[in-house]
Amino acid sequence: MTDTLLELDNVHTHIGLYHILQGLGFRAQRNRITLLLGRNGAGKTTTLRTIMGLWPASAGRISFAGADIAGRSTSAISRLGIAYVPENMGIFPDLSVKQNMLLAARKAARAADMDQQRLEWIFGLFPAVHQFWNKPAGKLSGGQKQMVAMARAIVEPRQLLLIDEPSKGLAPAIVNNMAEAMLKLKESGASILLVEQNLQLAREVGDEVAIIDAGRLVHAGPADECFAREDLLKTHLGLTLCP
Amino acid sequence: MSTIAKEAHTASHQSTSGVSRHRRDWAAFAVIVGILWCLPLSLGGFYLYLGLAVAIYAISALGLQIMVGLAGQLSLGHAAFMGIGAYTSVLLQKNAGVPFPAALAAAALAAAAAGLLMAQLIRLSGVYFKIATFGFGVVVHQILSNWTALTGGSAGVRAIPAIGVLGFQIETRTGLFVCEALTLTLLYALLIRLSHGKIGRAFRALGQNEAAARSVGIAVARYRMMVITLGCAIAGIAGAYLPHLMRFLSPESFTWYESLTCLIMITLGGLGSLPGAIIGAAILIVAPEYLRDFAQYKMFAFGILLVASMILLPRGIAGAGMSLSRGKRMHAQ
Repeated sequence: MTDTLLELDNVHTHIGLYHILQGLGFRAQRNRITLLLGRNGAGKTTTLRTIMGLWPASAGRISFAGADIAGRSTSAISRLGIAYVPENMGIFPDLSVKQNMLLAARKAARAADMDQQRLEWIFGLFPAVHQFWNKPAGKLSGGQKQMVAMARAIVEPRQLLLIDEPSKGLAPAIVNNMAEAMLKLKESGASILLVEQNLQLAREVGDEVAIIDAGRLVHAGPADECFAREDLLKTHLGLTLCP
Repeated sequence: MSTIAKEAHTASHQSTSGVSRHRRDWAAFAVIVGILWCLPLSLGGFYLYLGLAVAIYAISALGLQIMVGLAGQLSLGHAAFMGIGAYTSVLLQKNAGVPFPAALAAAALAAAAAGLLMAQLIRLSGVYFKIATFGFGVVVHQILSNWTALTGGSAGVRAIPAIGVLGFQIETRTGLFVCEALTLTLLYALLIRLSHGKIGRAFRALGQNEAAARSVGIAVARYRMMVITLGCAIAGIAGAYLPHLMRFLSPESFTWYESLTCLIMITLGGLGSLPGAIIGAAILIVAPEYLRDFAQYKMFAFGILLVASMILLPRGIAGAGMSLSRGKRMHAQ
């Protein structure tokens, strides 16, 4: 397909003695939000970390915008235009929110060097970033930290965002804020590969779905179709949909 | 600063009512440098000797602080790099007649080169790297002790030449102190600048969350090598001054014990804090001088001090001072 941004083909990942991804293959389309779903331990986080090069693939091909990125360093992968928001948010707690943002803004040495229009747009998406600009990120609440993590990921335009369970442990109002932000990011041209256990959020934002189990793809297709099939959700995610 | 950044800056100030870390670091710099320059020179005598020793170990502790406290690269062989600097500088002055400023630069370069060599060990993960740094320190000490033809072995090097700068021979403790204090002031200022710049931010990120640092595009291996090399170069500069204070140079000044003492200095002062490194060095140099009657218990006392500071002041003296001043400000509001 011409609009494929990311493609995993027969990817294997070992962590120590454990064989986590066992020939995983799926595609994420450009300018779409692809949901990566599966039960606990299916290999969702490992998939994101493997794409990012944090746990290198032991075999297989990972292609991003036509380039094979398997085996490249994490920093090189990041420079290609992929940002990662891990489940634990990956905040640098002793650095201020501003310094967290500056770390990801590679061309800016000072706040004044950052793209001010983009910064204004980010402040609109995540007001906490503006409010706590000089405060140590470690002092913020879970929701505020998640906003900083997301804001840091998009401080420069990225083609693909890998986001791992952004709603975990957050209040519904902040989850709604996250959903709105992700939809606006998609509008801006970014693509998102989202691991999410909160089905309501997933339904709200997802365009495509890839379901994995035991490190292998078990289903891929449009999100609407997937969420309409109770048998699929029950079999692969262990979910029974409420009316 | 542009409008948006300025607005955010103001908003943050309103929300925290705090002084920025940048300003706070320069305020601490002014206080510490003021005390450093005034106290030993005005009191003179034994206090001047203490000031000389504190300045040397404060320089060394600053080097270790950026490696360990900022970037999280624990080194158990820091004294070895002071040794490399000390021998490089003295041997160049004594055997080749190299002037002190050039010998000082050579000391920094030699220690940096050895640091770069040790930095190759970063391929070893976690605890293995730390153990390897200890091994590196032991190897350097053994070389200094046994390469008798070059270093004089355990007999050491005597008749240390006086420092010569721009044609002047510095033969007094006051002159030596001015050189050391200038070096410390300059290095401290440079390190504050560095710690608030792009490189310093990358060092801190590396020390706080290496996986996240990789994910935001920081070339982690390059920055680890950079910080180790820089920290070792600074230790080399500290080492270059040591023989001029002791009037003698021996490998016994650069054992694992001195490496451990440097680690206790930065831990007690506050990991990650540049003023903390200097405060820690001052306490661990000055206190034993007043407790000479209990010299045999020195290491025991240091151990107790380390454990007590980890329990009671986990962020060190500098961290406790910051919490205290923040508490006072909040109380005043």
